Amino acid sequence: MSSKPSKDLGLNSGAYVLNALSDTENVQFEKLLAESEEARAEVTELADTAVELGLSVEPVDPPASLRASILDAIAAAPQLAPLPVEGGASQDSDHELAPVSPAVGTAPVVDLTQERARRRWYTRPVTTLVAAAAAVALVFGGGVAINSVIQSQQLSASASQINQIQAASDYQRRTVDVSSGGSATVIWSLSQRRSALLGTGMKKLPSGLTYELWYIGADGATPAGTFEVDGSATQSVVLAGKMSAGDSIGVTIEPAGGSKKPTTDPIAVVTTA
Amino acid sequence: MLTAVARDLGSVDGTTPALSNEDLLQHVAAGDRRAFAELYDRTAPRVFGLVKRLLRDQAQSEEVTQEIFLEIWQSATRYDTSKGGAIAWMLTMAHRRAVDRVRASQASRDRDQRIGIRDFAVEYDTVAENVEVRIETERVKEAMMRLTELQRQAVQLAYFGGYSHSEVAAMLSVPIGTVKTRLRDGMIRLRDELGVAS
Repeated sequence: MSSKPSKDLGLNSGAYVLNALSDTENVQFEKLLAESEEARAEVTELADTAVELGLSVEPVDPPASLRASILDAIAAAPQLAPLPVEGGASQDSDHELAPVSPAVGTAPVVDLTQERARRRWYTRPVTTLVAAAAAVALVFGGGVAINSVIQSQQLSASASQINQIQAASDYQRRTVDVSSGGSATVIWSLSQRRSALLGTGMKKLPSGLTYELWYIGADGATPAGTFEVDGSATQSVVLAGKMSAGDSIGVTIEPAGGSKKPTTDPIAVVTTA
Repeated sequence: MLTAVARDLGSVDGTTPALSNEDLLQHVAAGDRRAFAELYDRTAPRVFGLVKRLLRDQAQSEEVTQEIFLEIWQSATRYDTSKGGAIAWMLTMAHRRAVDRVRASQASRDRDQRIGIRDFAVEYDTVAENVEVRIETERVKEAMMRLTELQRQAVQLAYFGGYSHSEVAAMLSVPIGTVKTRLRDGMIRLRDELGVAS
């Protein structure tokens, strides 16, 4: 750090090893790495320092089912070809992953994310396809139904809030049938005072009608937003307003625009107490 | 080769020196599933612990851990011992993957007008609390205490919280450039305190 390589960009080394840069900045910073021996040296040391942070985290035993699942997965997953000799081949030659056999429907094809991991080793610059990598990340996923619902909705504005609810330590969920068809899963966190509804197979309503959400407490029903079902298999919607302990979450069908008080019987009620 | 490896692995019980993680990775690179299982047993709690720290959600942490070990299996052929130890390689990959998942599931957060800085600030309190108590290793903990308060907050939020520099900036109410500087200065200070040298 005696002399800073390309002053402004060089400042990004800490954020880079902490994976805190934006995607664009990552690409720029890796260009700098390719050019600057000094920047590479600094980043290598800081990356090793980041590993020390990782080693300071208390280990947690994963469930035995995960071991079985991973060993199953690798049995069917091809391995990458070793890297070509340094500096020789073009970048395209790195995408040499053998095709995943169709029998392995859930095995991820990792060439893009592999690129991202490999660049951690600073061997040479890599053009990242960030959006594509994110898309690849989205298709990974287990058989947990609620996650697949959420993942299919992940580009919606409410996804980050749903994720936050899911990440809460007091996160809970409950699924009920919707009397007009389909089912509704409510996830909630009282510490965040938030909840979200994930609908599966709910019917598209005739025009002029809307689904409306309610927080139902001791004082009656409070409107918590409306939502439409457009014919896709799943919907997710974060409820408006704050959830209180003991609230039930209800869904009714209301005239378009919603009502201030429910005008029909609920088609689904989830109790959270 | 399978027999040879099986014999080596048998020695893990303590009769003869066990294979190092780096040795195991080389066996994995040759397609040896038994070596992979051994490597998994040795390292999964570290990987899972780190992923869970960032994601908190159990199901998502399991999914991401599975992605990581798949990637380890698939890219062991490209592991280069001269570039660092096996654990460093794996944890670097694990952190990247966990952050990718955080980003993927929060991709719209920046655009979401309903989430303001105040919400971030509230969230930060919780995160910082969790982060504080969970730093186990005394040596790292001590090194962290050598940072300025703001360096420490920024590094913790970025590494353990998986937050981007702009999110950290919003939480700490400082410009992004300041966060970048703090992250770099903080990591350099940590490097020096921990005696990390390449």
